[in-house]
Amino acid sequence: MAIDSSAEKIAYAHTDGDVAVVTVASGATHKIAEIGKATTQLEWIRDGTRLLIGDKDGRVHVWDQAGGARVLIASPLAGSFRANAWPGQPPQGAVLHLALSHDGRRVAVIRQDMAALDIYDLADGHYLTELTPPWSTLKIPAQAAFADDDAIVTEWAVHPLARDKPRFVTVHQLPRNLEEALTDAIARLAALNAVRPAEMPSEK
Amino acid sequence: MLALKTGGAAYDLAPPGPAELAEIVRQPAAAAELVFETDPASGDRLDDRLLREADRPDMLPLLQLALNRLFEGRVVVGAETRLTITAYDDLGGLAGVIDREAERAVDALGEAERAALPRLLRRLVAVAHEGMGAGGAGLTIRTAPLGAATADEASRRLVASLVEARILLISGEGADAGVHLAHQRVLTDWVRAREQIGADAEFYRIRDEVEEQRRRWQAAGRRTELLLPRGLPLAEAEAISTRFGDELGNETRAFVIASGRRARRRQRLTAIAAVVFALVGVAATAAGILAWNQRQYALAQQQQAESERARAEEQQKRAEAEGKRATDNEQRANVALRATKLEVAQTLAAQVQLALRQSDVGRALTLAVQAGNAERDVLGPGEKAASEPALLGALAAVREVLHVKGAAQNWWLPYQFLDDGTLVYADGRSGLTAVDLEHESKRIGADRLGGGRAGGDRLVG
Repeated sequence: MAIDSSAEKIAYAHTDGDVAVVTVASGATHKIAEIGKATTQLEWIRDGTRLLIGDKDGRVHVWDQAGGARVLIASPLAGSFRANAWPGQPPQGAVLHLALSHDGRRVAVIRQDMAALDIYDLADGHYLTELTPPWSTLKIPAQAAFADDDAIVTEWAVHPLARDKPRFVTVHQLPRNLEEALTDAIARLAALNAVRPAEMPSEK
Repeated sequence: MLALKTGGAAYDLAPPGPAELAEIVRQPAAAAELVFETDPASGDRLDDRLLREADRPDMLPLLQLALNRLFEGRVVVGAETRLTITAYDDLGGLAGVIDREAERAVDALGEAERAALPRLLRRLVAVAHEGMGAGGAGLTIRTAPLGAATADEASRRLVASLVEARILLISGEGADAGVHLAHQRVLTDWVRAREQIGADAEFYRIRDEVEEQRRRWQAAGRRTELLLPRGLPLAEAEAISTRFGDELGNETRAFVIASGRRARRRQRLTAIAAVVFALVGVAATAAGILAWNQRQYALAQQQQAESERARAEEQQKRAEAEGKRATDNEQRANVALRATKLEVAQTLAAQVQLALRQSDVGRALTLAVQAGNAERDVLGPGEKAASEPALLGALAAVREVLHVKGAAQNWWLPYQFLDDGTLVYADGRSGLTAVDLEHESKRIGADRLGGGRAGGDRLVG
């Protein structure tokens, strides 16, 4: 279930996956049939005009009253490690968590069996980047949220079966636009060039 | 006789009437027992014929002359002495008497006297205002001052001879004495006089016109505007004045001279005026030419100015067209440059992904920077940057590399949970940041944050 920021609309999903939107004032219910019975996550965009819907196939849909539902983010199943073979786990790639930035520009997605936290452009679903665990040992993102300055706070667990027991918290301050990205990249490139000869003589 | 008349010893009688003429013709003949012959064919008596032909009182001198000639040709028939019709016919009638007597009088004179005849006739003949005719018709006789008519010796002898021949008559006395032709018929019956008068016809006409004008001039108090006008009248008057001299009389000559002076004075004034007008005309023409030249110059200047303006407008249009073309070219170039930069950025971004797959994070970061630089200046408002994912991906990769290789810990941001659950972390740009995790507690879970505290501590440591 998801309640919009103005508490005027409530979106909920039945256990069988159907999604409905209830207008609080009138009690009118609008069933979103396009998604089918695969809904896993619901999240209202902060202005309350659109509803993000995650499904079992790893896709993220966007719905609004006027245009209905459409696929915003396709499913990137490549890179999954098929942990869903464990009993009681969601299907591989199923959307487990959605987090929205405060500036309304980005959305973070956590999927079943995926080791990275994927960041997308909320406007068009364009893939931006991913956040990965701090070391190569199997780690999965358990929860994620955007801080007030849109720094990304992520809880990491050591296994999909231990999502409720996260072990690490990371904070990523991603560049918010191209200019910041360029500035960061240039600084990182300078630092990299400064340390690479001494620190990374045999990167292989 | 002439001397007696000029001396005032004469008494002019009134002209006789028809009855007196009849007595003059018949009484002396009856007293002398002369008989006027009767034409046996017509029964016409000679005395009746004489009186019929002498139809005017002023014909008396000629009539006397004819009677003398008839007496000289009288014929004695029986006891009668007759004045014959034959003798009268031989005289040619009264007309013949005039011509014959006049010629006889002239023939008795010398060449100088005969040469004075035309001059004398011009004095004694004038234009009859009922009109001029050929052979003396339209002319009339007039009285000329005797002194003027006999100004020289030849003229005096001529006049005396013609008076004696009854062709001329003298009237008046002293200074008023005048001479005139004995009868109007002299003008027609004296052949020599008739021819001479015909030759002088123009003279009579001109003199008559000039004298008529002169009389009007004098009557009007010699007003200038009544003088002879310039042109043919004055030219004719001056011509006869020059040719015939004093025949015109002093007053007429003075009139002609005054007319000539006035005409020439007016001619001079006219000439002066003409010169003045000519000068004015020349000046006006010059001014006109100057004005025309100035106007032509002004028109030329205007045309030149219009031409310059048209050329300037054309150049402006051409410049505007060139400017527009340049602007279009610049816009096209900018569009092409933008498209090229975007394409370069996309290519570089794709190469970034390839470099990341090859774990060449340095190259990925370099390519990402190049991609960002390539398109940063050509992106429109709200337009997605192809290089942004590449940059973010490269940044993520380089963080991991730095962390994994242990070169730096800046992949992690130091953080700490406060007692109220707020997460505080620091980064290199914005310093300390506080995150109200209660706000996100439904997502993260306070209990889990507590669980994460150890990890965080551990990471920070």
